[in-house]
Amino acid sequence: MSAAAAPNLVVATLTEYGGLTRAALGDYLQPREPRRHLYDLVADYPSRGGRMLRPTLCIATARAFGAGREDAVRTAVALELLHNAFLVHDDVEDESDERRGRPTLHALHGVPLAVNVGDALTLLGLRALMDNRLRLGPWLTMRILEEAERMARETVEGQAVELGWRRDNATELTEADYLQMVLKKTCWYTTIWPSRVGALIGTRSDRDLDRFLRFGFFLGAAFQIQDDLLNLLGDRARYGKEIDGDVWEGKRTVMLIHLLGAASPEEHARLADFLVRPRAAHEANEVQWIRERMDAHGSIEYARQMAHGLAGAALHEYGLLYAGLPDTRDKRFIDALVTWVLERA
Amino acid sequence: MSDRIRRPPLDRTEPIRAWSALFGSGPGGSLNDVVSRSVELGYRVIDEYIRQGQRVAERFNDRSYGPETVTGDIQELGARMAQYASDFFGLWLDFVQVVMSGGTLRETSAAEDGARARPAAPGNGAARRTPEAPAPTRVRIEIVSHRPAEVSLDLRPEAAGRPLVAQGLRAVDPAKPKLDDVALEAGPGGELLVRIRVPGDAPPGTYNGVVVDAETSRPLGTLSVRVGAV
Repeated sequence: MSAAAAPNLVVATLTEYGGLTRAALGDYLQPREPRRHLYDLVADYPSRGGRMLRPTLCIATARAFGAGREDAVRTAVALELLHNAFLVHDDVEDESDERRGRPTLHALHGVPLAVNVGDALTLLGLRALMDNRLRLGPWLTMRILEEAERMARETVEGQAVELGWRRDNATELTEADYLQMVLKKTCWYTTIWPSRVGALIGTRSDRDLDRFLRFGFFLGAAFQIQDDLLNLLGDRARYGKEIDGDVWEGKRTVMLIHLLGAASPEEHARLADFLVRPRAAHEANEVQWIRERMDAHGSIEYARQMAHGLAGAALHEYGLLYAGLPDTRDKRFIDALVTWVLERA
Repeated sequence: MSDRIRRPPLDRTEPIRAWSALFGSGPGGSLNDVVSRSVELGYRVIDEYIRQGQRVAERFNDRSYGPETVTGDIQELGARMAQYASDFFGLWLDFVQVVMSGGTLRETSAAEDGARARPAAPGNGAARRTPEAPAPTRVRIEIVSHRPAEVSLDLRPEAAGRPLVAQGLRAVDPAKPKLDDVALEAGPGGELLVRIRVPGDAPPGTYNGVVVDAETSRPLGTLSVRVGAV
């Protein structure tokens, strides 16, 4: 595949399968009572758009292994609902101000209602998974639910690790600590689970699903580091979140971990003092100073190269996983996705 | 702050995987130092995670086979059979509901690359079966192996009567060689003949491959061979 064709294929596939997922998502987001304090709010984040990366990867993997599009669409819908549930709760936990270019749900409606909306989105995700029964049968439906339980467990464990770092003001973290956290918090629900359930639906067999751990880990970790880079360098309108928001929140990104390791003792003490305080107590000039130190110590370039290395490993693992499958558009999409995660703006 | 805990230097002489050869460059080549160390570190993290998972799985699977266990298994089997009956009844109700409402069990989408709807899938019970469903495929397996081997063939209903070919069977561990001596042939009366030869030096493990339609390349199933130790 030519270098120019790859991004086009990714965008076209995201548009097609994303549209398919959105259409089915409507079944679960119909207006009903109580609207004002629940269901109108439940539909808010899903209606704000998003790239639909996770549902598309799920459908494409299922098709690469021989399934029809409709076989995977309820699972893709569940993924999107669970993703939005995580986002609502994440925004509360991170005290974030913006999500997809608009104020966060808790900023608009308060924390209690937002937390309840996150719970409702989780339950709707479970409903979508149970709705697989008629099309996929009881055995496959149950296996997908078991996989969903593991994914959710891994994700909350990863979230607990990251929240604990912030609460305890951890400043002696390594890249290995970061990768272990990202494996659980991001990779499981962004890339590992969509690949595993896609293969489960396509092959109708749960044999060797662990083969997808390595591919999903490397792809998801590269994706997360690039996402963190975009938080510092991205175009605000396209990124949809507050630029430098991660620095304001004291999020332990690769860039911050690198800076903490490279900083002089004086800089390190100043960083530790910044990180121990809550977001509301941070000043704009402090955030600017941290950004300047990241540039001065090469933390941005370090993270960029780390993302490239991990994406290279993802490409290798892709070759091992998919070499035996016929050359289909869905297989080519998964291949092209690896480089796309680094090139997206 | 000289007492700060610092990351110990990474051991660069014994990488876990020979990743460097994957990118067309040997150790000490032009690869960027951060890139190479990230890949190595990534493999360490994920391999350790997988090992931890395997240890947990082994703990759960460490079961005895005394009289209490057998009794428990029989009780569990009874409960499972009752559950399957309940699942089947639920599916039957779904089926009746759909038929009564004049709908179809599976909508065929023209957008599905022209693929025809599968009348039934393994494990989905009678509810998905239609009068047009092809007859089950009779399979004969011939395997040559010096060691114990277990074959698992999972074919879609559409595979019946189609010319099939199996890709080389790959192990999860990329270091293990493929099992290439695999042939699928049409036998008398529509029978499918699967011939597998496991080389004497093939390492123990599970080898998997996809079965595809020889004319359209559409995947129609999977073939797995588990080779045991001597």
